[in-house]
Amino acid sequence: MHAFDELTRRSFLGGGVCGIGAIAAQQLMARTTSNECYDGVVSPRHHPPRIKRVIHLYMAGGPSHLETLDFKPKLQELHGQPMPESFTRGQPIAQLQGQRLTCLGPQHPFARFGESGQEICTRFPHIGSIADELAIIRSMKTDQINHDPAHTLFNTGHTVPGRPSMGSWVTYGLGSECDDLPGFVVLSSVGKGGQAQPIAARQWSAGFLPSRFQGVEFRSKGDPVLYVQNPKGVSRAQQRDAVDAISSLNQLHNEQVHDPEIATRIAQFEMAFRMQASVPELADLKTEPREVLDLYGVETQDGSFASNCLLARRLAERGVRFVQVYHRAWDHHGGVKRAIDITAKEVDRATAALITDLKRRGMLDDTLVLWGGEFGRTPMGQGNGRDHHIRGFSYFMAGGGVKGGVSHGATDELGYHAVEDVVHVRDLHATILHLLGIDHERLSQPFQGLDVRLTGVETARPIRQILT
Amino acid sequence: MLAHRSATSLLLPLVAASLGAQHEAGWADQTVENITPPAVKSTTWARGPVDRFVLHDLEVAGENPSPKADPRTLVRRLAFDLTGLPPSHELVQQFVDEPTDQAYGRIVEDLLASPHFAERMAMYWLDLVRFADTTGVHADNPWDIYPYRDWVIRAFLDNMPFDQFTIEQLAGDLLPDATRSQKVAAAYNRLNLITREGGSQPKEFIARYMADRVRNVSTVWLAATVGCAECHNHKFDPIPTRDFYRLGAFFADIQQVGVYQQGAKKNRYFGPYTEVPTKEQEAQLAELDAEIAAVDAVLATDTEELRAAQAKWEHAMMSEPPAPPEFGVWQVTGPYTGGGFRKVHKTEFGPERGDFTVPAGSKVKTDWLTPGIDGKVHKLVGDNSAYYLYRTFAVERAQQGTFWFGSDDSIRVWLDGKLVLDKLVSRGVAPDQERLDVDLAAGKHELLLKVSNGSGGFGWFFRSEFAEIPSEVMDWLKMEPLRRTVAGREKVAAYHRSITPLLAETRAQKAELTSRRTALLDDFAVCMATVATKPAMTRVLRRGDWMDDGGEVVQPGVPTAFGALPKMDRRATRLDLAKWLVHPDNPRVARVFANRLWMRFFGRGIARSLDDFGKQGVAPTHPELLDWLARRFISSGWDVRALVREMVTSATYRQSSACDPATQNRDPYNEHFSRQARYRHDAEVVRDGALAISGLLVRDLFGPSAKPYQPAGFYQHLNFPKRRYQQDKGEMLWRRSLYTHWQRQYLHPAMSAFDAPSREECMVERAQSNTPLQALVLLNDPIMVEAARVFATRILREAGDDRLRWTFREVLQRDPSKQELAVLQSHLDKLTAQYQGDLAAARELIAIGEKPTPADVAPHELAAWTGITRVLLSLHETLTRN
Repeated sequence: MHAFDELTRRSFLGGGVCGIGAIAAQQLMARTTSNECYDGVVSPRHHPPRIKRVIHLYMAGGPSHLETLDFKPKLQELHGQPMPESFTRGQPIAQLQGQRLTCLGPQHPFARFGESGQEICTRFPHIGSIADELAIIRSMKTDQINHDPAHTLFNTGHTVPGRPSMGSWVTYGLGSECDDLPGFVVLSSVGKGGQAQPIAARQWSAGFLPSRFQGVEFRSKGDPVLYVQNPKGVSRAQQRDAVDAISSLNQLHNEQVHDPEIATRIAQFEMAFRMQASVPELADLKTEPREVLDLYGVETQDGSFASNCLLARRLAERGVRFVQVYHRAWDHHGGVKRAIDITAKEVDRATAALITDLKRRGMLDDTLVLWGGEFGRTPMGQGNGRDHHIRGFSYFMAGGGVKGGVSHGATDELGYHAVEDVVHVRDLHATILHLLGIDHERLSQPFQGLDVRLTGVETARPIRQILT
Repeated sequence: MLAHRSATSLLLPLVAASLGAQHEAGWADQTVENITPPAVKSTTWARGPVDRFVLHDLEVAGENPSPKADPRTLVRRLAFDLTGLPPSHELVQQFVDEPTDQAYGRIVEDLLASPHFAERMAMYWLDLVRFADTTGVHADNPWDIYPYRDWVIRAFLDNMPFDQFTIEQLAGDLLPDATRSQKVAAAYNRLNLITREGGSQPKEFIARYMADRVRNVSTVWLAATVGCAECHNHKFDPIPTRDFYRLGAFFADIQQVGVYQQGAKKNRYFGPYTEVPTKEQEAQLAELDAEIAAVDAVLATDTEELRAAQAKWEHAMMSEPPAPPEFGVWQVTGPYTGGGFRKVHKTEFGPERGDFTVPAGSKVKTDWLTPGIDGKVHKLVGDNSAYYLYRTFAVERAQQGTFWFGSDDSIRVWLDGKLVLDKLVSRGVAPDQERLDVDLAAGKHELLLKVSNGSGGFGWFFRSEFAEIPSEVMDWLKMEPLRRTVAGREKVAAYHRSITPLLAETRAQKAELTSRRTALLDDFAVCMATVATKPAMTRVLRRGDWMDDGGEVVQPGVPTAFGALPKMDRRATRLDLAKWLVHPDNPRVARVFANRLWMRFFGRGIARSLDDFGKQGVAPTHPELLDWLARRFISSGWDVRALVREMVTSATYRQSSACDPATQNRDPYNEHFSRQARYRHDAEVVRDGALAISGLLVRDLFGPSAKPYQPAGFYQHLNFPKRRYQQDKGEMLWRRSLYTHWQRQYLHPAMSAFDAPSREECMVERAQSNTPLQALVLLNDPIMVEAARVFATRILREAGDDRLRWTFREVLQRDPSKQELAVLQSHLDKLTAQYQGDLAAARELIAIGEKPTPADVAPHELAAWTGITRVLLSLHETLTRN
């Protein structure tokens, strides 16, 4: 941890951080400072970045690749028959452990979409309509078969708690581009098609990095950001006066003690005050034209996945670096057919709307949109549902630096093992960092005797084949 | 490197032999010699040995120590460092008036003796051992382990020697005749993260639990990154993978399961447990036992009246023996629905009042014939619903017997209209799950059962037991009283006393006392316990793969690089591990702890990497000082308080933290300890400081974790079950923050905003961030607003004429400057005018928080002063130790 003394206590003034301490007190009082010009430890970038920000549409619970992005006609043929043991021998299995394993054919038809003819489940027609924007990865692989550890691996690259999440790494590496919102924001929704598996705040924790890099949750009920509302009986003008009084007194104290942390403290109160206005403004969708609301299929900020997609765009517009949009609805152990029907309706339109909306605003060129979950689901049925599956699943991405209308990798004929161009979670991490101008091997932090990286100690490679 | 400059010359390798030729012992494992503090040139500055090490280093570097901090700063520093609470203005003033060494020493002693010292020490220890109130994985369920936290506080309160402190935590359960307290201490071994997630592989999680424990024990006591060796040999330190699993094997005796699911009485899924009664409960139990003994005496004593009654009874028995009760048919009605399981169980649907109307649409057969129906499990149909079963019965003469019930899930029983059994429980049905002893008067009786089910299975069971007179009593009874032996006479009399209506009240009294005793026992807090069983086999999991069954089987052993256990002809235990750790010849543990204590009082460790004394860590800047402290710690009998005293009474500690830009440039990281440190208070201290200044703080020690105000919906992402935060009321709201419910996945947001760790892993040094979220907490968190308002109330009552000055002193223990007063005065004037014109706003502001506001204060005045105290409680100076 010692390394952070440097960052947090002292060299907030130097090395890649703008000189807050150098700003005259009067200027601070006049609220002209932009304290969040911290531009990260990767300054300059390791290589020219292709994107500025990331929006991760996180399909939590583990969507079935077999009913979304990975069509397996052979599995249809074997429907109801025993799963060939050659696939499953020696493999970790979650709830199906010790049970008879039977093939469950795809529960929904697939079709080819766009000029690229990408194969996508027909329950996702809107996503299909933007197939030419998407790079679909059909050979994802993870190591963790239960939700909590799998999320932890997906977010932090590690299963031992206490490591920074990818959003924290990215904001630590690159800083933020806005001075009235946090650099890393988390949104979440639940659906009606599956169990809402719990999500731990660990998933957006800064781990051993300073907590200023942790994800800040924007909530749909109550205060959008915790403690963002003034106490009852305190007006905005009075809050302004309070912040001014605090800053004046802090400044007077600083003249006695010359503590650089005081300048930071003053700046953080200023940012907090700005957030108190910018956050409610951000969450208010009334300013969006009818046509945009219709595109996403939302009326108000109702906590739905669709309204969170629209919020994600608004956050991206304002310079937020990393947005995660969880939809906790994909744990389809039973009735996967119906569950996919329901869940597809919840996410299909809004996902496509977000990508379309970013594109027409010219923002898709410097934004990366990711879509997928912490793992996939078994080709074997769990009754009429599917169990957790880690040896092969799918993801798609779209945006700056990413080829559109391409598919990458493949699973075997039953959708069990990723067999072609296998992409491990850490490869996905490397790809995200690469697009942001970061060499994943060079963004590291010493912790407990190791130079810890998001991508861990094993070899990770950006997926060059899908990059432009 | 500067840090290594004299280590090898002074220290001889002790354990190098055990490492073979490949590795030399790192600095942290070399013998701690008796070191004489170096000679120094300056004769006036150094107060004790600590200072001579520091000064010698400064003199070599050509540097000077900083001047002594001013008296106010010193008292504040001491109070915050030792108790985590601000000093009173009076205490500061006394020392300002008489800033002598003696006075300083007295303050140190007073603070060390304060219970708050123990709390402050515990806060840090709890970070190390990752103490929390929840499991940490998946559903993050609450568990019962807070008595361990109290044990830690008590240990610091009693200044328990650190070797004993270590032994009891790692192996308290293995000590001969382990006390309750030692068993609670051993709950340390249960603090690892555990899961209840369905579909988890038990074997995988057993492997995780072991790895979790290895990481913790090696970081906490050894500052070693043994965790790095789980999958491969350590890349930098001489720790082979084998050593990881050998260390893990010490914990293989702990009774546990991989995936916790069953046994949900009171949501206690995570057994085994040990009972932890409070002192009061222990007293209550003794009192109840005494009362029961007194009642037993009455029940065992014959009187004239009893003898007469007995004669009559004997006559009746001989002429007309009693018959068992005659039961009527069961009448059944249901299903009744409405609300969740708990609600269904509690709702009175009608039959309680004699209304047996069958619910609309019900298909139940309402009358069940008695013959053969009792003594069997019967099924019912429905989810989230209740059935009632009713029957009458009669006894000719007063009789005693037992009813046995079974239910899936909950059950209530009324006898003659009185609720005699009420059990809200989730379970499958089986015979004889509940026992009800009945003492029946002659005549007709009514029995009503209610069985409520959540989901899944649904059923009930009933049988009755009316014992005949036991044969050994009957034999004597048949005999003429005068011909019975003494023993025979007593047997008959005792039996009579057990059934005579004359003693019915006493028996009822006893039944009542017994049920109170059961309830009391049931009320005892429990603490998850470490129970040793036959150790599971420990294999090296090659590449950390839990599915690998081919690795070498290993026995418990300490990491070879750090030493070896004494030879023994049995499997080594956790107790052996603990004793090895704190063996006086093992230098590492004393260095690790002394280094961390030093960090707490000087802002950084002597070795900066508090958690890594290996090759990747940073070597100590003052190795001899660290060794001297370690040696002193061991030779003092591991006296923690003495070690603290040594540090905080030093001249090094008393330096000013002020730092001019030139020094800052020359020595930005305080390589030489040529000044004190300044840093923001920990999360707990920020909140506790506000509570203390306001007067809200509840200073009680110990007890269940507190649930203060928390934003609604903060647990919305938790599930299994869905969680709704049950905020506490009254004093629990204002307890010290170390008692705050520690939800690993969703730690209280104000705590995490100020860098309190989730306690999923060992945390040796918290980050020190400075964020807008902290500003939002300070400005808007209801507890901060409430503290400001309660403090403002105190101002209006206690401050006298010069209110602003008084207020400023209460917060910062100094006088405000003219400019500071001006800022506050103008803010106050503005607020007063505003709230005078907007009383509604004033009333809203002062209504925040549950502490009542006295009726006799003017709302606008209180609101305006609340505005002032909000500002003062948020100041950088208020939040900073310097």
